[in-house]
Amino acid sequence: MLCATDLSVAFGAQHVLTHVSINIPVGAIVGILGPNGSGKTTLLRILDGTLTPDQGHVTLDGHNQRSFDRRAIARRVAVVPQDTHLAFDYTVLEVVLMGRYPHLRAFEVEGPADLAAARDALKATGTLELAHRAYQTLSGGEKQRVIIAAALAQLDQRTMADAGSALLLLDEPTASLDLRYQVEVAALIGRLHERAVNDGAPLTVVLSTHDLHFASHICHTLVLLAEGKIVAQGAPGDVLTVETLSTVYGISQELAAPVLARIQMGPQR
Amino acid sequence: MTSPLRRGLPWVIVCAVAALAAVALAPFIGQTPLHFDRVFSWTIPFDNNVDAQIFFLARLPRSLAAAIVGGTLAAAGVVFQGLLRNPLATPYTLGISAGASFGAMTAITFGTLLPFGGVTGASLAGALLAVFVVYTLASARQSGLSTTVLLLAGVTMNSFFSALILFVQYLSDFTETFRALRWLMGDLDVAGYQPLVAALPLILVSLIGFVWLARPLNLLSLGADAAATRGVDVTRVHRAAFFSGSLATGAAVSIGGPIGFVGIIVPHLVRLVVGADHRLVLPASFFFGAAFLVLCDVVSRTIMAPLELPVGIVTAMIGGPFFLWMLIRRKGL
Repeated sequence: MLCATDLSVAFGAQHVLTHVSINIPVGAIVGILGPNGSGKTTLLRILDGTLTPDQGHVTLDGHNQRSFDRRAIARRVAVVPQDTHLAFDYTVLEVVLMGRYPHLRAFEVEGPADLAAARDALKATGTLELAHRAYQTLSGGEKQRVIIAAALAQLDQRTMADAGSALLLLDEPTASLDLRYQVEVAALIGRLHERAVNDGAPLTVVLSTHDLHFASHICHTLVLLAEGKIVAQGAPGDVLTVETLSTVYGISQELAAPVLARIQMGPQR
Repeated sequence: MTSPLRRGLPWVIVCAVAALAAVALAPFIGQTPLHFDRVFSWTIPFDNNVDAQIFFLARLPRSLAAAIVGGTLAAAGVVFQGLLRNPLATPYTLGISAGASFGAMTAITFGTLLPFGGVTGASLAGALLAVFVVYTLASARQSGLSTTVLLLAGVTMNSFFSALILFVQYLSDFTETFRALRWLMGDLDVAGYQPLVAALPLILVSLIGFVWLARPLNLLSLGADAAATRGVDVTRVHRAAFFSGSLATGAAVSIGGPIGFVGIIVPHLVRLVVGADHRLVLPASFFFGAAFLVLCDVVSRTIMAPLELPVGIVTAMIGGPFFLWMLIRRKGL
């Protein structure tokens, strides 16, 4: 559904991405891996349309992303940032209802359909009982689940006539969480994807992460970035090899081998 | 599951009723007692009806001025807090009131030399000058509006205009300095309806902007990037918030001078009751701010009667302890 062709970006003299092309098919879970500063977040920002690349373009269902207005993109593509800090004391329900923004006209107020979408999203992320709590009083894992709920409410297209399949972008969804919440959020992403497939409305997921174990077990496709270039792209088994790990992360092959063995152990769930 | 918006609505109505009641009742309080029957009597001709004259010509304009200034400053405070994503921002943070004060000082000191008339017009011109300078600085470095540069430019312009004000004061004589000082304290002693009529169009346009801004400001509190991915045109919202907030502030200051603390006390109290949604906070703050300043003005007129305190002293007397209370009450400000 989303196709990026020959993307290049430079911030001043620093090349952040060079000639990056990826194709994200409908219903796929794609993981973007790479060391710090390899361009993961920049790539996500181009995919969600908030950053315009110096070169190359992104197409959504075959149409240039630039030809959509911001709200039209937002109805199809939702983003979960690494962490979300609110300037004011909103309740969880209010945060989730903010996801409905692109579905409402100026001055329009959320209706029953929007409340139903918020309720479903809260339920799907297991945060329904938190609905009237203040967002700022939640734990890190709860916050992340609420932001995922807001993204789901945003992608809920029950009020849309021109519905198209939905894309969820997550920027290091487990980075700031402890082990328990890492496992929880990973399981949640898997569950949401599965549920969407069962509902006949496939959800496409793109996530960036440092957690190779998590990525290799949840993703269908991995994209390995280093210094703004794609080093390897394909099925997890083909991308994560002793050679790629040692070159990308700058560790010796002797060190890379046990890391890889640990990754290849079965899923913890 | 009911809409959180609907649950807060009664509070907005309560604030609106309080504002109306304050505006209508405040004129009855003062040195000369007024009789309700006489003020609204149809049988006594207006020219002979002293009570009605005091009510409609002296006290009602003042009560209306307090309401309009208070409501506008409180709502503008909410807009600036949302724009800068900082609950401690005030309508004066970005240098608008300093520009307005500089304009007023210039008119008071060199009044006869200026081409345009009056302190009100000059303070409005000063506010517009500040808006222009701050906006040019903040939008020069990149496309869109950087809130960081906005804040820096605003703080810088605040000190720069303060220096200019001191310079103008240095050049003025004693009576001019006294008038200037009174103006800077914030004073609602308007002579009739003219200053209100002059500022009202600007305030109305800004208020329409505020209504449009309410929902995007909610999204903006997630951060500019997160708001953009939810479909908000962030640059447009930044511009609309800056211009409507600044024009409203400039207009309010041109009526009553830089009356402090209203733009921050009122939004804070309102948020404690209605929550954070700007669609509730903005109207509730407008109405509650109106009622609050009318009340402060009544206190300023009566507490040391027959002496009248400038209302800015009263709001500051309330504002200082209020902040201390807030600091003690919640650590995570």
